[in-house]
Amino acid sequence: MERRWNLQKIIWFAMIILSIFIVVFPIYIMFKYSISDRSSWITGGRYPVPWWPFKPTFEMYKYYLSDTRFWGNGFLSIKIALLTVALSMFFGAPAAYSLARYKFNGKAVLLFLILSIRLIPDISSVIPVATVFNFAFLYNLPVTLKVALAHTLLGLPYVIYIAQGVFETIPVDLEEQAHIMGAGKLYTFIRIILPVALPGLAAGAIYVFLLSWNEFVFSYFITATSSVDVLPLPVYLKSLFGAFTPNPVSIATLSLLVSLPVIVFTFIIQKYMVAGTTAGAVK
Amino acid sequence: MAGLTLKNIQKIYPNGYHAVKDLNIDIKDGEFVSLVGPSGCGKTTTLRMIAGLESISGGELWIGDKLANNVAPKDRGIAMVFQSYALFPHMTVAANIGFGLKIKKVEKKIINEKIEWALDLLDLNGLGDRKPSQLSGGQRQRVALGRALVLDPEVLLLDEPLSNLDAKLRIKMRTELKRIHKQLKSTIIYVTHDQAEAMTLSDRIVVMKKGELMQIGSPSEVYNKPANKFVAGFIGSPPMNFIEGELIKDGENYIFKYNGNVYKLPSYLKDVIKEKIKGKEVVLGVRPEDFEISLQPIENAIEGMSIVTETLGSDDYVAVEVNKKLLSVRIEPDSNFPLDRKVYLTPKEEKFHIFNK
Ligand SMILES: Nc1ncnc2c1ncn2[C@@H]1O[C@H](COP(=O)(O)OP(=O)(O)OP(=O)(O)O)[C@@H](O)[C@H]1O
Ligand SMILES: [Mg+2]
Repeated sequence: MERRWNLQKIIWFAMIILSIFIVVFPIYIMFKYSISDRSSWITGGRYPVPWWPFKPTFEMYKYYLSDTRFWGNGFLSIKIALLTVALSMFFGAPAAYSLARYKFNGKAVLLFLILSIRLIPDISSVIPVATVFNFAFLYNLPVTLKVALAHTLLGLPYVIYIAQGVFETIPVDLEEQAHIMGAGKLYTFIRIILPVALPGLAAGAIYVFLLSWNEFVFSYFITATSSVDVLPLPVYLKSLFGAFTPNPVSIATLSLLVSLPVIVFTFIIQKYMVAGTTAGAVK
Repeated sequence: MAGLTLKNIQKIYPNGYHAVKDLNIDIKDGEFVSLVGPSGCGKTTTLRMIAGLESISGGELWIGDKLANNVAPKDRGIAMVFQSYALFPHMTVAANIGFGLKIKKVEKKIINEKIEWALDLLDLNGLGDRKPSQLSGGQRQRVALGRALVLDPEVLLLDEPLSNLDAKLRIKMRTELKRIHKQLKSTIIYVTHDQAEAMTLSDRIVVMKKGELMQIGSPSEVYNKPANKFVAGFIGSPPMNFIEGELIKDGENYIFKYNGNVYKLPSYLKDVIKEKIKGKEVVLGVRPEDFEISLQPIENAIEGMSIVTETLGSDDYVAVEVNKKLLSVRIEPDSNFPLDRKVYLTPKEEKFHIFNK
């Protein structure tokens, strides 16, 4: 095959380089800071901040990774995030399915209302939610469940909206065919609809995982009275620094550490995101 | 196996649209019946009412000797192949075919035997582990068919199963369907808007138009004795030629007057006219192959001008302008028919059709 460099190809290539740069550059900056020794980031203006630390050090990593509370609360946050994914899928998918399949007046309005919950700033919607969580029967729930429930509240609108779109793309014929052959509604939903919808739902799952993992405001208010041993990671980190501004090395180190679970989760889920699973269903 | 009776079946959709009007069809056990008609005439609607996917607004549906109006789809003893195939994309071919049996809690060993049987019957050997997306259109169609056949349905409903295949595959699948029907002897109701498909496959054809029944009959009945102008025009390709005009009584017989010309109608038509025709305005119908065409003047003939010839492969036709309209007339192949000449057409004996306008 002939390889020629025309303008279109050059622009294409430049775009790819640019996108890689946009993704990689911040990671490089974070990594550089996370392994910087003191003189590599406090320069006092006498010399420029170097592109690579003078004496790279993993001190900050050692410091955080030897903190048992960091590990414990990190795992707590992972548990919360997974539970949030499970809960929002459990409640969201059937709701989305009904919205996708049954026609009724005011459906568009309802969909908009569901999403519009997220138009209110978290900081104002947290007050009523935190109040509700002060009722005894919720107050005494384990922290994991309490925070996951709150996060489910945040994640549900997205799950419903995304999943609704996914279900709408699945031909009704599949269900009718199963129905004629004697499959019940629930069986059809679990055995036919869900597997076919999986790739689309996976995107929703990743989104909700991220949302829960990064969430601070709701977690903070709901765990206001919890012991420091059981705090979601963002809340715990806030408690570490108190009123002080953490230095760039801490921030960079934590940012990188905290991205890891998201990357792992995304990789696991990605397997289900193969495009075009409805291919071959209908002609 | 079971026959099927539709008695005054009606379908009115929730939006008020009257999709099927007073349909009466009696289908015998083991019969292959085709529903044909133009798009939107209610074929799919009728099939879906038989399947139980659509409620019946009026009338009675009998499957075998059971009134089935309110029987759940799964208890009707039917299987349906959708216009879209509706294969389950995440399941293998084998799992697709075995799906219905698995739901019926059939023993695993028997399911596997049935799947093998279907793969074999439909020439799908070795494809059992594939996903539908890895199959060709014709193979998918056969999987959809197999999924229905393993259920031993008393009535098999097929909704335009061949409509999206290319011409060659369509003809192959036609033959295949015929063979399968012969082997299984189940009652088949086959929806299509391709009249040629219906002609080759069916024992009887049901012609519908705008939700109404136009005619039921064997392929040769609907072809040779169309009940009305619609059926005459719908069945047959190229379609029947129509000439509009009026009837004038001439003693015992009739004269057909069109655009100032006259044509003496053969005497065998007078009974038909007495029976069917109301009023003076009528339409004469003659199929392209039923004309004799002559370049020599003939007494009592339809006169016209030969305009162009065209070939459909096996047959050649010449377009003849009569009354500012083109009639298509079959001619000898490779006959090099002279164009722009005056020609004289006479319909063959007993091949004349006459309809109300
Ligand atoms: N759910 C519905 N609500 C209202 N009208 C409908 C509905 N489904 C079908 N119709 C109408 O009923 C008529 C018959 O539809 P149907 O699908 O039975 O046609 P068809 O003969 O199968 O046509 P085609 O050859 O295009 O498949 C059409 O005019 C259609 O618009
Ligand atoms: Mg149809």
